[in-house]
Amino acid sequence: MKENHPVLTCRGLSKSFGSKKVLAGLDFEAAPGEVIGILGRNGSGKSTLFKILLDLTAPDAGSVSALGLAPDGSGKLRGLIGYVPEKPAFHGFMTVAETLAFRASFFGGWDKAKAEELCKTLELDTRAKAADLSKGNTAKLAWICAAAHNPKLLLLDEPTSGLDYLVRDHILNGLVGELADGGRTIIISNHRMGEMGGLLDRVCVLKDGRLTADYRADFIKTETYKVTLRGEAAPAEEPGMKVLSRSGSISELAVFGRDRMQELKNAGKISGAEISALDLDSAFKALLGE
Amino acid sequence: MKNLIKLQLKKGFLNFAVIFGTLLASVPIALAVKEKTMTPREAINLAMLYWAFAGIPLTTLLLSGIGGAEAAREQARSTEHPLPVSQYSLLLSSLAAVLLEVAALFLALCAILGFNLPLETLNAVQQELLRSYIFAIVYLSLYGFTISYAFKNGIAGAALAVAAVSFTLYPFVITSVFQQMAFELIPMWLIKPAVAAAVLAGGALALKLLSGVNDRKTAWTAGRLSAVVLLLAAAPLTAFSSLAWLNLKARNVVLPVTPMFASPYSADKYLYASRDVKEASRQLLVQRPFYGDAFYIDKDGNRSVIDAGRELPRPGPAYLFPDLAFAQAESITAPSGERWLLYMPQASGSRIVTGNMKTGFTFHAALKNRPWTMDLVGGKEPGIIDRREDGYYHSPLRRGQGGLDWKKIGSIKSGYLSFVGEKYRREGTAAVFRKDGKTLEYRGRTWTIPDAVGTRIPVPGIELADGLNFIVPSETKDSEATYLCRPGGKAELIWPEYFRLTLNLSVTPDGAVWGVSRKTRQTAGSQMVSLISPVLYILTADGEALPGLSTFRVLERTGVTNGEIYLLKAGGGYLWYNTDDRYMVRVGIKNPEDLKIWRLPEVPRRRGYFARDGSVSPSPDGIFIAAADGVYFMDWEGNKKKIY
Repeated sequence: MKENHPVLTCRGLSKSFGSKKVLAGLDFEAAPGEVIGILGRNGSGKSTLFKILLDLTAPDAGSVSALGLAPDGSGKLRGLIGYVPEKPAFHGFMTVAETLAFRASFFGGWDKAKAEELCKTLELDTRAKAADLSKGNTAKLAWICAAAHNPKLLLLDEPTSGLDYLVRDHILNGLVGELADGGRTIIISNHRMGEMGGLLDRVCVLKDGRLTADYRADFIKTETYKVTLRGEAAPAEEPGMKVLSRSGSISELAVFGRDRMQELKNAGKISGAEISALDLDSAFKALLGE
Repeated sequence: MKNLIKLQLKKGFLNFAVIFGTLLASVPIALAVKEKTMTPREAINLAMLYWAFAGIPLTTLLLSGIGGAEAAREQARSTEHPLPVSQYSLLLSSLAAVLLEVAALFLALCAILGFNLPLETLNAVQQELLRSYIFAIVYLSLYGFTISYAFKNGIAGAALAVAAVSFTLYPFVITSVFQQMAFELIPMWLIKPAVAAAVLAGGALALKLLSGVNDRKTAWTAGRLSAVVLLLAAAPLTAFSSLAWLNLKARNVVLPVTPMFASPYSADKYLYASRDVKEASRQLLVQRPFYGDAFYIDKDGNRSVIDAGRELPRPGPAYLFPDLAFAQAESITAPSGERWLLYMPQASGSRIVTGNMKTGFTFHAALKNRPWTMDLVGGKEPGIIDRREDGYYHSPLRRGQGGLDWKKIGSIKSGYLSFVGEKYRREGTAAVFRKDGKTLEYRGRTWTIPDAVGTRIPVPGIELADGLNFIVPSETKDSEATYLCRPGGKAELIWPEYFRLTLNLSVTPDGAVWGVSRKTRQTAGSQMVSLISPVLYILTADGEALPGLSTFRVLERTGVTNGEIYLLKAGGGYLWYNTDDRYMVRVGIKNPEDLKIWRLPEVPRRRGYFARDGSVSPSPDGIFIAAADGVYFMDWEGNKKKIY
């Protein structure tokens, strides 16, 4: 964490839809300037968590404090947060310029010059009707809408989902630009967390309505290992060790942490194994238990 | 909010533009297809009438249904919810857009009519409906939107909104119309805003709760569901509660049974009844219109039933419109207390009954239909007169002999007055004018009154302490006056105003004869008569003619500026009178500062019933008050008791 005073605090967040419990007493904090990746399988509650943080959905229990405000249904909180939804949508009858002007009337800190600059950088035609925008251009517009009022907190829900490489690069470059400004706290949920790897400070795993793992990004990058075992029966999964694959007599394991690796070696569980650094995508996959 | 409303108007512009265009197009269409006999203005008015009563309500349902259902859709959520405004504000902006669109249509309609709505021929019910129209349109918009949003379906929302509005407007309009046409029993000034508040607050709060559930995914609980249902049902419940309240109040209403065509200074009453006023006033004939029954009641609360009324319990639908039945009656009373009653209930069964409070009343004869054309005739031998197409008929009323024995007494042209006058003259209760029109004659005595307004009709006498007196008016080009012909043979000018017993004088139970002189005016927006400096002229039972007494100060003290004033009693140096059935006042004749005022129980005031109701009726011992919640008796000292 870069500072000790959290920008965002969640305590005991719970939310159910009918009999389905989506969040079950979730605790979470984000410090100023932190970039946090939220990992979770489909339906794990990432979007619900974001909607609660945005004051769009009311939690059944628990509390949220973001940027000094608590969600109260007024929508004030959304004025301080930049949000890129998973499936952005705009009024089709408005042009990009009209959409930006319309949004500008609601966000106090709207930076018109920044919005225009982002349109140029992202090569977005401001005369185009929103209804005629491609998926990629819609995502660009969503990104501009999220960033143009210089929010202290950005919530990005699958911001690059379904986008081609070029658009993804645009978005990621934009993200780098926001980070370069400093002071932004960014929370990203992304299935392709690997592409974000270089930006993240922390990675949290959302499972069964709770954060089941919370790692510093440095740890994921430097202390996750791929262990390849041959000919022998692979050991069963245990804390700090996940089976990545089994194919014939070859098993691939993911081991989290230098200390854990040493324990496994000492216990003779991975004797003769081939040990290498685990790539980020595989590490995240292992964290999700996939 | 302004930007949000603009956004919603833009979103719904196409729908609105089509409807608006149709409204405008209906003008040339109306002109093109109009009947030859219609003027262009009539054709346009007719088209706009359809728009007002069908087009705009349907359009309201359409726009609010679409608006509500759209607001609940995912498209609206994903495009608008990220904005930093509450989701409820988004809904309100959408609703406001619907209201603005409907208002624009209505204004366009008014503009087409030149802002000159052709409403002059509306009756009371139509006027009441019109007053509810704007309210109903707003109501439809709010509920159509809210329910469509709740069900995410415009058709379901529109249908349920129509049901809600119908269930509210029916009891609301019925209550309002009842009070317009019968009595004002419950305060509409309170009910109208209460229903409006229930509609606006109920709809708005229900929308807020629904927004919590639909948008913010707050869980449905039994409490939340009940709250939404109750809020949406608040207006119909308020309206039905007012109707139930009205029914309860209507049950208690008691009215005197009076002749329909009697005026405050009824000629017939005194010319033909020749009754013992004192005896007649000891009981009051009252009815309960809700039950349709009628009975005599005395000051101690003893009753004698004339009509048992309708059977109870009444069928449920009867309570959806308080169905009142009004009876009329005319009676004559002999000095012995024996009465003859011409009783005309609203339903069939008009009849003549006779009897008294001690022995009860018995049926004497049935009368076909409602015998408006009949009048009782008093005197030594009571009788009844009927005006038929071929002339006037008379039948004596004799106890123990049921039925009627009709005999023709005159043609329509010649009338019945000569028959009645001759009867009273024979019985010694009336004097007649000689042919000169100036000389009044009674049993050999004569009085000459200069400028007397002589008539062919015998002049009925008034029994004062010194015997039978006659009151005769006179008139010159410049002045009017009233003379009293005393038994001693002297004609005495008593008042500088025109009074005649059969025209504008009344008799109190204690025998005082009185009339009131006043300037009157119709108060704007009211059927009440404004009282301006009324002056009472009184001839006491002792034969003392009091000079004109101004009642202005008393009226000022009681705050009564509209309505009627009636003398109740004159004696012992005091006058008692009734100001507009609201106060009984006792004032010293020689010292107006010696004043006492008693507030009377509230009496029901029949709408459109111009004749004096007689809700406050004097008797020798005090006054009967047929009030909104029963019958009261108040003595001359203001002591009041409820006797029914």
